[in-house]
Amino acid sequence: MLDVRSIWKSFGQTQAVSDLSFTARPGSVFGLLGPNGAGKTTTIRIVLDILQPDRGSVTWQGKVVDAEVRHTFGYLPEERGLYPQMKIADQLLYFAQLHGMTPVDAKARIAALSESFGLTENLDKKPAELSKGNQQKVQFIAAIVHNPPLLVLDEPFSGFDPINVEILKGAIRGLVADGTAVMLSSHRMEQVEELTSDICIIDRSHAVISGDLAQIKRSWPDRFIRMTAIKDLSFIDRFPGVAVRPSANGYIDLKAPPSVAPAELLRAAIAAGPVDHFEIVEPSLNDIYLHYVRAEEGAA
Amino acid sequence: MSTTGIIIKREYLERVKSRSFIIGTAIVVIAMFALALLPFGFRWLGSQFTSKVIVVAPDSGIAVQVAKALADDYDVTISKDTSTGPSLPADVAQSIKSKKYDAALVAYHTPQGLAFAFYPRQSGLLGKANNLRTRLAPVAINVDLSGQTAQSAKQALNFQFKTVALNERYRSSQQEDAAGTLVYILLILLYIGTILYAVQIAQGVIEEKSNRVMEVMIAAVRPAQLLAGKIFGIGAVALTQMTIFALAAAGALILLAVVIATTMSQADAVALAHQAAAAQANAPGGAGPAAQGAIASAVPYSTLIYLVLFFLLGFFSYAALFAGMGALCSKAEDVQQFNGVMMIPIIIAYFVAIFAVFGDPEKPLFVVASMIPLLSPMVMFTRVALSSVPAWQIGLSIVLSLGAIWGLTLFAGRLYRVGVLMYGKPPKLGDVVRALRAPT
Repeated sequence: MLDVRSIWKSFGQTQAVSDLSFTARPGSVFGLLGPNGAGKTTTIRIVLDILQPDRGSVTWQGKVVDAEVRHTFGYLPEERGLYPQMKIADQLLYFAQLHGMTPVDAKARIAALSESFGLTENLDKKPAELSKGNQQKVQFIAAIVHNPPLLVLDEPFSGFDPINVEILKGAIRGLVADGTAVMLSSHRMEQVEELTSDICIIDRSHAVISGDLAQIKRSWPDRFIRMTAIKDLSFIDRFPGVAVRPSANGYIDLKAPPSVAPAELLRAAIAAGPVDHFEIVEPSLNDIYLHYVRAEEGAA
Repeated sequence: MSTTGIIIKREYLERVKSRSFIIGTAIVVIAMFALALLPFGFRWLGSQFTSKVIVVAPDSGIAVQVAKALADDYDVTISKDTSTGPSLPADVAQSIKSKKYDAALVAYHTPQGLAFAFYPRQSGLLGKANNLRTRLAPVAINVDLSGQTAQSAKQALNFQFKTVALNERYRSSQQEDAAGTLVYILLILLYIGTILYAVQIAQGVIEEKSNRVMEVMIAAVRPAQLLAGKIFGIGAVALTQMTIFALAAAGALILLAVVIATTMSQADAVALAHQAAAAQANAPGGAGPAAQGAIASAVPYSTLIYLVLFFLLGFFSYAALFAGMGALCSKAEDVQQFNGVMMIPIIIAYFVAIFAVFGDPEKPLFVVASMIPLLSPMVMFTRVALSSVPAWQIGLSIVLSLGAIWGLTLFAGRLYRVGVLMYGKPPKLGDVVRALRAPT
């Protein structure tokens, strides 16, 4: 288990990370979420021992993360790059060896991974000869080639087209099923919602909420209701605090504060027009994110 | 293999396998062979401007033999004076002063056999001394064997030949002057080599930063390992290229010797072979005897060893500097502005060394400069190649250089650690200082 305890980091006058704590367990995905500039990449660099925290500790399986431990981790940086003049097979072998694999083991693993990503014919090519999507896949393979027990992904889906996002998600699920601990960062909630089981949302260096995503959703005070978009929505005005926004496929989404009983809303809606769909839904990760990050901005 | 070893291997192989390395090396090798054969072109050109030499000999028989031996390369006049010793007859001296002749050659008898004294008017002619000595060998062998002053050709070959300065301003020993030319050429090599490879290090660092491979690398290895991999990998590339060049130079000299041997007259060839055999006695090794002789007579082995030693000292001093600088830049263009600043010590070292070559390398200025790290590789190399430097001074210079390398590498490692993750604008000096003070 990756255990991050109360880490702090500042650069000169800028506070990058303030009192941040979280854990990432084997066989699950931890999502570090927040807007650009919130401190996600700094946190990741501290986890990887590239930067030293001013205070706090980072341990993996009870051991302080140092060069020795960090060596076993897999890392997909947000800014990605490959050596332009080096064949794909050579690069992957190089990265595998840097992580301590023997050439024989590395070659077998590279063959298996490139097979599963459909890259086998590309192994003798140089990066420039590959499509962007294939370059991204190579980069991902480079991060997992040495079977890391902890895989750290910084904005893993940025720059991927939808098809490749699905391929990548499939690969991450496979690794998680095999017991890998995955930590990822993102500012795109809809892309990571179905993957993450634990989250921490940070904004301006502070954690605003963290914990088990399912639990956060269950205990969320506001109710999110999806119902048929009837013509006359004036009934909503009788319920103070209820917000409405249009949704796809002829639905509207309502957000009701705890003071409003959904049954009352349903009764009022039926009185206003024909309602053939009324569903209480869990808040989406995006709803949760917007709630905290917007609130912070409002306060500032 | 250790992590650093893996990085060194990649840095080395990727460069050595690159097209630019192969083509660049090939061009220089071809140029070396072309240069080796160039003197024959120059000889043809040079025949248009033949030096005028007046010969003074003990008797007309010897005078004629000498004139014949030199006729191919010089415009020879036989003086009406005869010689009894190495001294120059007054009227001959006067005619040289009045520029009627470019040089005088005095042949005279000694108990050990025939001897020669060469009086060139200007230092430009000092370079002819080697050629003259070779040309005169058959004459000495002939005269000494027939006059019974020598038992064998080999003995006769050790005839005396001295160069006498007519002008105080240039040094009289032809050996020193030849060494000066050689050191000058080696200095240029040292200068170009240092700049070339140090800049390659900076570029290698930038390349990794600008294509963001650095992000992946720093998660896997320590910045110090990356730095060491770069410096030693490129250092190995430099040594490889230098070795290829040295082998090519040796090959070119062998070719030169073969060409000389086949184009020379029989007597000259015999003399050269003897000379080579004599030279081989001082020079251990296995290459062809002619080439061996040619190399041994052109470059003392110790000079070559010092060349490699001081190249390595210079390379590692500047490598650390350039690696640290590269780490602070994020685009290749940013390097340009730093490059200019970084070049300054190399250029200063180069000019100080050049002044040492053409002046007196033992002047206090040069002695001090040869102790200062960054300057010392070039200046100390010049001193050891041109004069006899006390061993303690060489040792001190090397120790100071090694100390500077150690310090600069630590400094570069620190710059590297803070620099590799800096992107965007090239940092201002203040940012760098602040970054260096920060704990990490």
